Amino acid sequence: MLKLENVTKIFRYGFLGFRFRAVDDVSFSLMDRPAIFTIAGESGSGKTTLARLILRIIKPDYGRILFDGKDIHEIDDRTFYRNIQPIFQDPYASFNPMQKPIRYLRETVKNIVGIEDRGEMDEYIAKVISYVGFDIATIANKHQHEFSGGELQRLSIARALLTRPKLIVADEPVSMLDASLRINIVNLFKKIKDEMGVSFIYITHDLATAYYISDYIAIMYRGSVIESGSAEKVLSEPLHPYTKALIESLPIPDPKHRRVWVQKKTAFTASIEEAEFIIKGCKYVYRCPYAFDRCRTEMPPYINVNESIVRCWLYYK
Amino acid sequence: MSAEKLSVLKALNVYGEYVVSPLLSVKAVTDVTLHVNSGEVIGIAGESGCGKSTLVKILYGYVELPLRARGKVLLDVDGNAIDLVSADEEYKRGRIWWRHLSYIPQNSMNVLNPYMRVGDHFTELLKKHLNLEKDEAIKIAGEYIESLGLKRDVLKAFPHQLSGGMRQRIVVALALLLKPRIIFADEPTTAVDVVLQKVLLQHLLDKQKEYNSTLIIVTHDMSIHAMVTERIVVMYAGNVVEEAPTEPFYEDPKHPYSRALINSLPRLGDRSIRQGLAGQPPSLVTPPPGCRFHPRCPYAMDVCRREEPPITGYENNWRVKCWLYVKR
Repeated sequence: MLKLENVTKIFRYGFLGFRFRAVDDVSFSLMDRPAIFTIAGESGSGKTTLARLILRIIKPDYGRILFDGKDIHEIDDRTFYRNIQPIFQDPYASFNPMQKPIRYLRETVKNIVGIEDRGEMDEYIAKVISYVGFDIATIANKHQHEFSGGELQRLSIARALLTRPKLIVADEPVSMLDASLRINIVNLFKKIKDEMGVSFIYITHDLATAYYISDYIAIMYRGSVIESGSAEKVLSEPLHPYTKALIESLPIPDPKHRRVWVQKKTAFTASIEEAEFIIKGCKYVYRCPYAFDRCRTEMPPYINVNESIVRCWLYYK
Repeated sequence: MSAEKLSVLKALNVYGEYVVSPLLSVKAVTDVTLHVNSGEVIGIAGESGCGKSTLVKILYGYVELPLRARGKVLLDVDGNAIDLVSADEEYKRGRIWWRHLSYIPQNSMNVLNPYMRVGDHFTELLKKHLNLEKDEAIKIAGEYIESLGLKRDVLKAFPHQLSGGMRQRIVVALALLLKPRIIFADEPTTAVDVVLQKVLLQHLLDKQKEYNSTLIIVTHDMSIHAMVTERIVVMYAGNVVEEAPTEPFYEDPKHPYSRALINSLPRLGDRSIRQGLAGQPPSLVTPPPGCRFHPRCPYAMDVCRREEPPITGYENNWRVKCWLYVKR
């Protein structure tokens, strides 16, 4: 369904600063079968830039993104937005505070689904929003500030579902919500995938929810996908030294794991961010305990290791 | 174990409210009583808007309009109990803060003065509190920075020249400089990646042990509490709803809210279905009558809607504010 071929996006660091690859040679593909594909990474890993590339907000400098075999920049707006819908991080910024959210829903139906009649429109909206647990009569007269963050996020999911998309790109959709509400949204994604056959690209830094819902996962570091595969495999048997470090440092909500967590010391590496962005070799080399000469000069290729794909010279034969 | 520990800070019936207008105030903290012992690690948990940050500000004695506080926060200073709520701010600045209590605020990577070199932050503190000459202060600051495994050059840098993680480490180092007896850390690791988060937390824990200080850590992240704290205080809508030793708490939380909170957390290696809470926390301008959790509580009874539950002892060091645990 969605295919990324060597997608690269170059940004400048500061006004006259050096150029670096915010997204560097990323390739992966999503099959037609509905699935949740997680892109995980820390801040500065390029995961949001990748989301913006897939959503056509920015154009790649190299490579291309195909949807159903066609370059997304050659698809007309209506077909594109009917099939691919976004959900953003900040639910308060997703809705115009000067308008009632219902208006945004109606506009989406009018512009993309193509229903003009007001009665029909509301009937259509009512069906979709009842799916996320809302009743059109109660939300129709409410303004943005009368909803809580969790409610608005559910509403933006409903809005995305209005066009019956094949793919929803959700960029950190739960990071601004409290834990007890977070799981409700995540459960909703799962339900939508199972019952409506919608695929998700779930962008997050939270590995626990990623493990909970995703079928596939790609771990990004400084613009590159350094490991990808089934979520189960990658998160329970990580290969790349970075993925291993991430999983080792992840706190677990169970004091039984405390001893292991506390005893395993993590080394602190000083400020080397800028160097990491421009190095020719593996970007993890400054932090990697296993780094050798080749890592410094050459970026490792994509290597298949028991069903996962990893970019690390340690696995090169 | 807790019997040997000395009480260093006592909060007695503390209230905190933000004055919005003469007629309107947001009751962020309501009737909190808390005893803090020396050398322990306490976690304050709860979701956004539950009053945890406000409580910590009051405990630290940093009360500025629009925040208004009532009640007593007694700090033991050389055998005298000083009330931090009523004490004069000049006095707190000169005698209490940094030396006895230190505070790592939220967003700590952005709190350094951008016009001051990192080193001047250190020397200023040393000069003011230990009455040192400048040369000596510079020497001590340099040695201190090296003992943390950082390069001396860091002191010459301006804050913007350092990465976010580095700045955050500097703020932690500043807070620990005078070996305070109590360290308050308000969401010390939000906005940093998990690897750095672990480094910072381990550093805080190491220093806390070395100085035998008390560490009070505030975060919404229940995984951090599980990894770091010895005792946990759960807040909901301005109230402390449960206070318990961390380990048994995670096995079997008592308050329905704590239970929902723990059950909603997904964890690596476990795909069993998790459920969150319905609804949202109440307004703190006009809180609901009775128990503040009753509109979302699956066990709500008649009495919960009418009367506020008292905070009752469940076991040793374990207190719950819920009618389910009141024997009548």
